[in-house]
Amino acid sequence: MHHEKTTEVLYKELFEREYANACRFALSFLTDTHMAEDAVQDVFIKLWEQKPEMLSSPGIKYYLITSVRNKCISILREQKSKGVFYPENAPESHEEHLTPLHHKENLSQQERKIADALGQLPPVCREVFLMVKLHGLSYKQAAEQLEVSVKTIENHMGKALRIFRDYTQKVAVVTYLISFFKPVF
Amino acid sequence: MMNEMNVQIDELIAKKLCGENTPEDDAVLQEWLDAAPDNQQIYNAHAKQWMEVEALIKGVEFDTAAAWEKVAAKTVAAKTVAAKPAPVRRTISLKSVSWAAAAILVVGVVLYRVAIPGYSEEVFAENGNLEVVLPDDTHVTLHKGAKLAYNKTFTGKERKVSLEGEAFFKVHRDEQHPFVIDAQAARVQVLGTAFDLKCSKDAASVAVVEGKVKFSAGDDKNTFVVLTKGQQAQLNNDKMVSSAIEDENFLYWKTGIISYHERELQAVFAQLSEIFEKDIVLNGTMPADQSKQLITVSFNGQGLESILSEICLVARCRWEKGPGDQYNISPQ
Repeated sequence: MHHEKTTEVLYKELFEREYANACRFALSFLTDTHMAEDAVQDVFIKLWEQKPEMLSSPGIKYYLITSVRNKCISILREQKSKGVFYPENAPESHEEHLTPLHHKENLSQQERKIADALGQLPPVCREVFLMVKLHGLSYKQAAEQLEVSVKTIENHMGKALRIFRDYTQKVAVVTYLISFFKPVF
Repeated sequence: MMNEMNVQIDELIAKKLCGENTPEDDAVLQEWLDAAPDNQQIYNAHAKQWMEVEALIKGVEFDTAAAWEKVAAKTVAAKTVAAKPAPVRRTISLKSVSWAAAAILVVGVVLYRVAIPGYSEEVFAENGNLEVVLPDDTHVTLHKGAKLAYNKTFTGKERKVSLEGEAFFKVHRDEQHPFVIDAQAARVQVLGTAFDLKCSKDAASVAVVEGKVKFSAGDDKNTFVVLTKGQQAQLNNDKMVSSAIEDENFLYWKTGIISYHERELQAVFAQLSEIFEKDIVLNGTMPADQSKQLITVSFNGQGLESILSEICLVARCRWEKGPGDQYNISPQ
């Protein structure tokens, strides 16, 4: 009985601590906030049903991140098999510079901002960046999660820095253009 | 050479901004900072940009509390109150609301009238459910395919209407003028009440939501039953059976709400199959304790696949679309 209660408390604490970040992470793969939220909620429900013992493990956060990542990838595969295909979602692609968010028509300003900022990053770089900055993983932890070397993480983070530099320099112009075109569309 | 240097500096700046810097890194970075007077400014600009992007990403808000309620209902709460699980409530989505609005518009346009002997007005819900308000302020919702005939003004002792198909009646109370429905195989007489009535040439059924309903066989005045709230009756080839309403979803066609309270999984699938007119087949490998587990859940305006997904999550099974538009359910 006591154990039960502890598990519930741990579960709720984990949810309150990680839910929003997990959704933001999922949003870097998926097309909209509802999909991201559904994916993350599914992950949490499965965690409760199938791996409640993980809740007291120090690795729970990594487990969660990996689960969200896998869930998103499986959703993308499903979409792909149904003919809904966003080439740039594929995490293995290194070339694309748009996030799926850009395919949505009625982006809120907030969604557009995150889409634009993250959209500058190649997928793997984006994932590394989010693991470190959003989830607060150390380089070493991120390297372990992605099964790459710490040096690779350093490369990605340096690249992210460089791309953001270019992005923020462009953003003033883009904002101007958007405000200019808005009345037309 | 210069480029390579820049790449290394970018990585060092990123490391420092993430708190990953080692003393060796600091030394190299410091060397770079001292090398040119502009470099400190470059570093500062990087640090600022980095923080801005981080703020943008963290700025997308999610309603954790609302999400927790949903998840808790399926996890923590579902477990602790196993005897009385909290139903999962879903609000109707904006999309389905606008869809419904569109449907009403369409139906409104195709509404047409044909005179039936004895009645001046007839409405036919050809393309979808249809709301009709009668001259006495009685509200009738016709199920798709149903026909209702009535007179523009009610005269005489009785308020007479005629129905073919299924409709929900909310009859305006007027004790001086009984409301009488000629319902093909059956005849229904009420004073003021709400009920669902379904009829064809040789069968009819009624389920009472409030008030009293007198339900009789069409031409046999001696075969009748008086039903009250929560009761239902079926008439089949002149045989009448009454009972308590067991199916809480008899008004699904009108409300779009489906709810189950401790209903066996297989019974749930059987009814969904009926409602959505799709075959839902339970795989033979499903153990009896799984197919007979009790499900408590409710849905509002959701499609079949979304409903199946939600039930499967609770019941630990999975669904897939099989050949011929059929849905196969198997253990997880």
